[in-house]
Amino acid sequence: MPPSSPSASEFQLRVYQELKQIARMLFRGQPKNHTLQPTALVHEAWVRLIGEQRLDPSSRLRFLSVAATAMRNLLVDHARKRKSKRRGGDHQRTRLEEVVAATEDRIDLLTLDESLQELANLNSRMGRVVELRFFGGLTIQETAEVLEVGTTTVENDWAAAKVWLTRSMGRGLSDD
Amino acid sequence: MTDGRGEHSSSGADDDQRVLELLRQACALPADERESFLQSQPDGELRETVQRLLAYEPSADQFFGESRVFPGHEYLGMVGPDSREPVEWKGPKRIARYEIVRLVGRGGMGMVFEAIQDAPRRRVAIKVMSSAFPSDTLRQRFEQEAEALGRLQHPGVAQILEAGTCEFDLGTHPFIAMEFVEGQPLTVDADRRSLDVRERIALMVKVGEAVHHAHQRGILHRDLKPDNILTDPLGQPRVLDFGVARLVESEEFSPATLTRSMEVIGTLAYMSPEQVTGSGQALNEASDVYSLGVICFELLTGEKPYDLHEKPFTEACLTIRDTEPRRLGDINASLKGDLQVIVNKALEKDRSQRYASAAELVEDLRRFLNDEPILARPPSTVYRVRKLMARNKALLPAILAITVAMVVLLARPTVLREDAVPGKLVLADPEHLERILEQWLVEADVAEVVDRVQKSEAWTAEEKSLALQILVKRWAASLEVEPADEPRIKTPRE
Repeated sequence: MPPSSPSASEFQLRVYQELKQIARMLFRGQPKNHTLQPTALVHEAWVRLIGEQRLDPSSRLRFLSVAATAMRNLLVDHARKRKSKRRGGDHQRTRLEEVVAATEDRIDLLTLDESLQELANLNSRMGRVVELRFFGGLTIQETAEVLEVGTTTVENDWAAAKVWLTRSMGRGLSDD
Repeated sequence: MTDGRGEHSSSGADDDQRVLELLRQACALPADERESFLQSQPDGELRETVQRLLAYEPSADQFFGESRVFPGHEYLGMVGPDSREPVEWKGPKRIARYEIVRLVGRGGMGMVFEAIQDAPRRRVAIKVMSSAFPSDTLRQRFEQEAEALGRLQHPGVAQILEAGTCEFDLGTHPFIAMEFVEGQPLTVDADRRSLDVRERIALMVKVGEAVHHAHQRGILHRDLKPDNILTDPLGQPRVLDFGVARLVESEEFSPATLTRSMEVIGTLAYMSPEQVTGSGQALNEASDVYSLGVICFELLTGEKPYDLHEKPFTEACLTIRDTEPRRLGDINASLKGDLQVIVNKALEKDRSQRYASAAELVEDLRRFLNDEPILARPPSTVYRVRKLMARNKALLPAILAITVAMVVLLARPTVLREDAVPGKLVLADPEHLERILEQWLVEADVAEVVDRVQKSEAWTAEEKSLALQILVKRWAASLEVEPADEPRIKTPRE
């Protein structure tokens, strides 16, 4: 029996709930894992939902587009908490914290979030492309489908947005 | 952070928008056309701003590079567990010299078609990899390895016929043509024919022989699972996709652990601990032996050695890495004994403890069939104690105490007999005993000494008990204080 097709807001709510649940599991979870990409968490959620037949496989893109935003919020919230707390040395990091830490080795999440918001103010589609690609792990093709634009549009958005964000995050030439 | 955000934000949001749009147009062009494009811009300030921005491109790629995680799925799309659903194929009708009949299945690695070869006219299976070739080097490697696989010929292995590349919408994709095997997955077929235990083991022998044949030629399978072993109408199991996993496995080819996590979810249960944890250990024959162990377990019980049901990917990996597998006898009491020992040996987490080759596994399965004594032994006490110790140092004294208790209990019945042994060693007192133990501890570690005490036919139960108590105390003490220059008791190896 195929799962019924839920309404958009109902769907969104369900994805958020599911990600929250997965995040809880990750908070308990073991550190030192080799999949430390935010997108891995999103896909883990997807695999689980499909495995448990709680979502229709055909809803994958809808799921990813919602989950990308949710993952961004989750990680940024966590990075914020992490900054304000700065816990002691023997604190055993949870997996989510490991993901935040591994991501922050490359990019400061809070700065990225801020820069991304600025970019979205200038060009909302570019902002969305970055969110989908970076936090959701969507391919160019998938991103194009979600946004209902051509792949070339996404490619160009992505290329320009990366450069823009890198500069605006103050990373790059002068730092390296 | 020196040339930060001020330089563009001062010029206002409208200007930012113009900069962004020009940047976008420039990014869309090949690198060598950008300069002339920018030179044609009338607004010099705008042009310079964009030029400065473009200098960030290499670092931008570096920062965001990792998010480009699904290189191969642009064309094929992500594949869920519904991949067995029949899908009407609307793509190209031909691949090289093969005419596509139908799409048989889709998986993370790509798609499988049934096709007809032009000449000689025969049915083939074509596997088209989802990843396009990023470089000529990889293409060459693919072709070389495929050629090696083509030389693999065994009645238990589906023959690889050709490897090549084909043009699909989004680029050049590698494909492999192989013999089309008509049949059912090993486990499905065995259930359908209601085979008994011995018949099932006989099938495993054939599978193991095929795997060993390939191993001898330096080819690992890397992805053994019942779905990759089809039993043909004559009852011969045929192993598919030998070495194919390797063809698409490389840093450059599938950079994303993540992609793999999607792909492996169905086959995780058959993967060895070293494989699921990506420990960096190169796989070897013993990794395939492990997978054979899981398949054997499933073939005999209908279940898997680990309950991975509903576990998310990472948790499932940790289960395989950290928990003890179930034993055959836990599921079906009639399977206790030799078979259980054989399967558990294949499933050892530490691969040096597994059968060193598929041939050794086959040998023991044959011995089982012939009612001969098998070569595998249940793990020795020494080994088990050592594993326990390694797993939890804090519990060492407790573990040893339990071992002692067990040893004493077990030793008791034999004591009476030992009493009758003439010329048995009489130990004067605890100090004398301690000196002997000390001597032994120079030669061996604690676990071995425990084992030696336990096995000693010369000692009385009382002496054994006393000896083991001494060992426990010493050991506990050695844990509290780091051993001095001359440790009286060797601490267990890490």
